[in-house]
Amino acid sequence: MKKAGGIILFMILIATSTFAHDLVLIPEDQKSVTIKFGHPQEFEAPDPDKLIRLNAYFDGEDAMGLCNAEPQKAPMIISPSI
Amino acid sequence: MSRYSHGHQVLFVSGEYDNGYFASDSAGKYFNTSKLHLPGSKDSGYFFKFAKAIFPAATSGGSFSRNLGEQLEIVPQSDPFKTLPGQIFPVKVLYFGKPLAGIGVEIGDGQTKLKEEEIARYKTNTAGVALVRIARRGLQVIGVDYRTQPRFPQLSDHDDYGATLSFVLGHDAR
Repeated sequence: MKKAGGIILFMILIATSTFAHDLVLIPEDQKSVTIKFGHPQEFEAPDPDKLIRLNAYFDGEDAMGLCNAEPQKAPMIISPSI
Repeated sequence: MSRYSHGHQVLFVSGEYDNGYFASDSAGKYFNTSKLHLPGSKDSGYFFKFAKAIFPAATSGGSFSRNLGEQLEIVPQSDPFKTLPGQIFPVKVLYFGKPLAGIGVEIGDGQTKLKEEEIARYKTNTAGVALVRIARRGLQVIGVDYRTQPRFPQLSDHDDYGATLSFVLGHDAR
């Protein structure tokens, strides 16, 4: 992760699953995204073992994988939230 | 953000989520397994989810219409950040990169829970384009579901793909 910096990666994911739910990535500001799984008012945190790919795309650059980013070293704030 | 990306701005974040197989028993209760392990199952499916968030920097150079190559993907056909409430926002639905015709696209605010019969669905045309109406500012979550024949019939009765596209329409949209 060559772009590592002091920013926070929250991956407090809960192992729950419901088959008919949606995966939703919600931009919170210019540099963070919240990962939700489910439906409005019934969102759950996603199961980390099922999130097989999470990429960020920057202008002028190739996609950067975030799934294996270490806490404090992600290029964006990622927060699974209910 | 700049010190983490060498001055580059984020355009998109995308995710893929393998929710696995679900099969129901004779009573209709679903289990996280394939029908192979639930003989006599009433219904079974394989569920794969895709999501994409677009950030305002994607306005520059028309990046908003970039196809990221997801198996099921919703691609804006106009700049989402220049769409006003009440206006039409065209999106193209791609399945393995090809336009998906005749499928319902829905939009919500990510907060309001709607009953199934209350959800408006905008059908894609032969080019895979649906004309979605933006109701208000704030978070927009556009979604589509697509059911196909099973890739592995011994494991499920159907495969189900779901995709969302989300962005925040701010007060400076024009």
